[in-house]
Amino acid sequence: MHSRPRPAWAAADIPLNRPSLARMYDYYLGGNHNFEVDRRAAEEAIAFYPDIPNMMRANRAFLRRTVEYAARQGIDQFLDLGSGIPTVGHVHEIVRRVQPGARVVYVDFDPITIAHSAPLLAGDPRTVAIEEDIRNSAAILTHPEVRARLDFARPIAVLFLLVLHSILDDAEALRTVRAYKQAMAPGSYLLLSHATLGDTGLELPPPDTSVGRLASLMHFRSYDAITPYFEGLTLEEPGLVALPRWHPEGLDDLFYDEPDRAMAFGGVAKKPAVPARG
Amino acid sequence: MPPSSESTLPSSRAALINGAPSRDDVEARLRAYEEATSSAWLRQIVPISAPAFSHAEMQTRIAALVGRLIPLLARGDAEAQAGARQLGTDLADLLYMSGDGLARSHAVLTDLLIQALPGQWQDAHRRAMGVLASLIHGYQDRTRVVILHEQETILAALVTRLERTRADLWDSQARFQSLFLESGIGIWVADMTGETLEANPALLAMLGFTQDELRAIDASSLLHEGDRTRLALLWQQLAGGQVESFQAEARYRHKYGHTIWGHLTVSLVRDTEGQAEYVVAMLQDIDEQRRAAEALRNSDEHLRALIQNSADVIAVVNAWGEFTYLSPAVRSVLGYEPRELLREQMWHLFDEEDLPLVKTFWDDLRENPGQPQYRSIRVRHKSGAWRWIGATCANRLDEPGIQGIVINGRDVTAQIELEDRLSSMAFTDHLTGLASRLAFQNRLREALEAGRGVAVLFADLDRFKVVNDSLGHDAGDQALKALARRFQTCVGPDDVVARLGGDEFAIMLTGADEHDALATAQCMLESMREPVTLQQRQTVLNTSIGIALSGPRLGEPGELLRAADLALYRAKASGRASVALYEPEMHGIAVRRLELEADLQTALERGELAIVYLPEVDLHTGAVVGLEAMVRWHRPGHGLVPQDDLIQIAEETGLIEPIGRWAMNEACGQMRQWRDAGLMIAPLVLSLNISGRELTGDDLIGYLEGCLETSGLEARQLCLEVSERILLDDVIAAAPILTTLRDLGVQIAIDDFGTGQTSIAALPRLKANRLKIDRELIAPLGENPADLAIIKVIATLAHTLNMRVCAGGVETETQLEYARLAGCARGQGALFSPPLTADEVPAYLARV
Ligand SMILES: C[S@@+](CC[C@H](N)C(=O)[O-])C[C@H]1O[C@@H](n2cnc3c(N)ncnc32)[C@H](O)[C@@H]1O
Repeated sequence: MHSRPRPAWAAADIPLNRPSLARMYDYYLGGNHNFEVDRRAAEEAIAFYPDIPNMMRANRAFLRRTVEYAARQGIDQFLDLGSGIPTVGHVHEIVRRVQPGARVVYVDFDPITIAHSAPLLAGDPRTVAIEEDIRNSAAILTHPEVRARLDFARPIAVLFLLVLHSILDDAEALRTVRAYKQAMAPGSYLLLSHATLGDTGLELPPPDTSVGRLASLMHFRSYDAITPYFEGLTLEEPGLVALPRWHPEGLDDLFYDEPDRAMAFGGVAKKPAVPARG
Repeated sequence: MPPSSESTLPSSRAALINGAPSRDDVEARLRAYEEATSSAWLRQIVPISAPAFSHAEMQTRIAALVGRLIPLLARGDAEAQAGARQLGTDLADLLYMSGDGLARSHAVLTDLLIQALPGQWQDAHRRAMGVLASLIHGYQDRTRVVILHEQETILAALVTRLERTRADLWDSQARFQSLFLESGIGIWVADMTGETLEANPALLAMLGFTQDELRAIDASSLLHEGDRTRLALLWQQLAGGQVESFQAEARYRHKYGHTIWGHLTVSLVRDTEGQAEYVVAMLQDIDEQRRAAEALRNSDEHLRALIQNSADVIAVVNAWGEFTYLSPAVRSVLGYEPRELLREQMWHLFDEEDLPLVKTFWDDLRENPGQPQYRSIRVRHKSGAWRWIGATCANRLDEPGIQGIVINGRDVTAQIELEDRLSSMAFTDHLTGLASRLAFQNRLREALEAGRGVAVLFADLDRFKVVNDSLGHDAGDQALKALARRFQTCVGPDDVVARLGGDEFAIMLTGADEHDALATAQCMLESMREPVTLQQRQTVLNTSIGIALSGPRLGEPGELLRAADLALYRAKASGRASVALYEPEMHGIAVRRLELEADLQTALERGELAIVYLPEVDLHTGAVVGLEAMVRWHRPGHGLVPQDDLIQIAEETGLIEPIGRWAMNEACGQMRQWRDAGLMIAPLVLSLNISGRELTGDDLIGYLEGCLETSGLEARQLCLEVSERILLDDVIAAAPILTTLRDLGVQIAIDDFGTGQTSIAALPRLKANRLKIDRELIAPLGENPADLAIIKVIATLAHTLNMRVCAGGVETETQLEYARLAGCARGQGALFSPPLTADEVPAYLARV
């Protein structure tokens, strides 16, 4: 007759024969939380863009600077969306150097990533890792584990760091960010970085190669396509910039002289008391 | 890149090497020197360091490292080296895994040394270089620890997740069971003659019989006389194989005589050979539906109330397919409020694919007023999910009070899914949900006939019998399921994974070449690395894989399967968890192998086995401290059979047990003879190799105590050597036998340590008091400092755990030197003595 719908009892698979972006990211950063498939795919990608590991480092440095910044503004609750494997330190470790009592919720849809974080966080009631697609904002925002830790009536920092590129549809990505912006109390911060090809003149690898197939799972957005994520919020100085130019620490910073090589724009924005006109 | 702090370095060099200047002067210069070094180092490191620390933090930490390093450089004694090692550890944490970081640090630091110490200061130079080497060791050690730890955590994460997935699968099976038991639909399973095998509670309730009563009567007698002929015809078609299933509405007789309307679905279930084996019938009570339809017709107030409260959806649609009435049950069945659908066309609730079918049904209804008809069809729930609805429809368009088609629908999704499961049984392996042998053969034939190249992989569990015997069949089943699940993650959508029976699995890769097949096999092996939880115990299972590729000489399914089987046999022969590709000469090998096995069967009786003794020596005093007994087989006409082959065949054929016992008895008896002959054997420990099978075999303790008694040996003079993989095998490790042996005073040694996948971290778990480091780790000693470090780590850990460490396969003075350095107390190998026959031992003992 016709194919019947996939029955509800079929359990979800964990494909181990395919690389995971989260574990590749870990490999780029020098971590060992990865398997042969991931390493092979990562090496292929590096062969195409030798800068990749440094791009990731630049993003991780941006993460540290922005998170420290938010913590210094008095924020003590963080929602890290697309948190990945904490290769070079959990966000809560960085934050707590400034805000010792901070609460942090990690969300990722990569099952292994969460299974990895969960036991590490088990002894710490102020943190939790949740396996969920960040597009399911309602599920995340009403999740009892999230509610038990984050008080949405008070300012919070929401992190979208190098994750939105994997939501390919523009409208869906915007909708996702908007849902969280709405849930944030005035005085909250949005911390966001986004992969871009910018003015680098780089081209995407041909789609029929394995690197190309990986790249087709990402949407590198232009500067103008990234600005709308901040709509309704007020960007902090210096605005949306190439990552190495956001509050740099010194001239020796990675890619300080060639900020485009970080291949990502990022910024920090604050939710005003009265919603600004976008 | 040299540090660019030329201006401060010359004076600081003076500070380090000239003893003359004043104290303050020296200190100031030293500080300047420290600062210059720090900033040179920092500049090298900042761009590549993992960005967990801020710039300022980095600066403080590097300065602290330099502050600790400089005083060490000049000293170079053991304490300084230990300090440098710690520095290396801290540096690794600071830089986190950036390989480049070590290289860059090394460059900065050697520049610093070279500039600070002129060539003629050779001694100081050498000392400083030594300190630097320690730092690098520390860094590397730390790196290794971090890598191990991270790999372990990610594997653990993987296991956790896989376990959860497996648990989900369990749930689904439990659900399947409960579907049968708790289903509201009557289910009847019968053999081909119509004899009742099984009836579920719902059916019994519907008909009023007990299970036994039902078995005792002829099923056809349950049918209303008016329906018997019609159904008998349908049954004949089914039994004759003309149809796979049929549906009908029919009247049944309740035990107490009244009639029930039922909707009947009857399907065949075939066995793995394709033979019709069972009939499964599902009977749904549609009495209520019929009554409701009647009720609507009568439009009686009271019955209307009944409809409002019925769990079935009652709907009326007009001649254009628009809803004109919906009962409240639509809320629970389809998720809509009745008013949301009212006046809406019903067509958009169906899948486009189904529309032609729905239309035919619709036309049929319109042409046959009055006659109710039944159909099951997919309907979209408001959430977007598909539900199967069983609908009884009657055309009442001509009735003034109704003017519509009356639909009485109920959710039958569970029933349809069950049907799906039942019909796929023949082609599905019950336990694992994989393809069955029959399905596999079909798919293989199809692929070969279509001229597509295929690779066939055969796999089985290496120790399935042990698992089954020691943990029980439930555990065995769990293991098979886990395996099935993991194998599936290694193949693509067009490939077939099947369970052929027992612990045998087969995989067909379509359009695959040798490379693909090997990659898949590799993936399968890797998927086995994570332990499986069996009876709350983490157990690592191993599998071996044989591969055959279709080709001109292997074009028939049967040939391919045999070839893959041979390759599997070969893979098992080369050890656990290995892969072999079929090669034509395997036929010959297989034959020779069979001969070898046959010969070994009789070797014991014919006295072809002998024991040789390998001395174990104290590495510091040179004294002989023990003898390891090893079995040798001189096979007539073939010479000495290599040790590994002998053990393996013995293990595979099960001869290992009698051979092992013979060796134990023989060696203990020999010890007694030597003692009686006045040889100083009292301090010597006799080591015997023992296999996993012997450990779990019958009454090892009793036999061993017997040997001790007749030989007069003390228990502590006996050491049983168990290979590392056996101890890691949790089934055996958990066995009380090891504890009993240790309680007796018998020593347990881990043999060949370092060759398997044992992580050093597992050592504390192993109930052993001796550790033998494999020759493979000893051989490269002296060539690579890292090897020394590894052995040292093992030895240190072993000592903390009160284990005595013995280096295996020591052949050269250099190796001896290093083994001692690494902390091995004992050694064995050609440097001390080759294995000796019983006759040679006295002379050897007298010599040393
Ligand atoms: C490149 S990593 C970034 C990790 C971290 N935010 C950082 O900046 O270091 C992207 C992570 O986002 C996760 N991710 C991607 N799409 C997601 C989605 N729709 N829902 C949840 N997680 C997602 C991936 O699994 C991956 O771990």
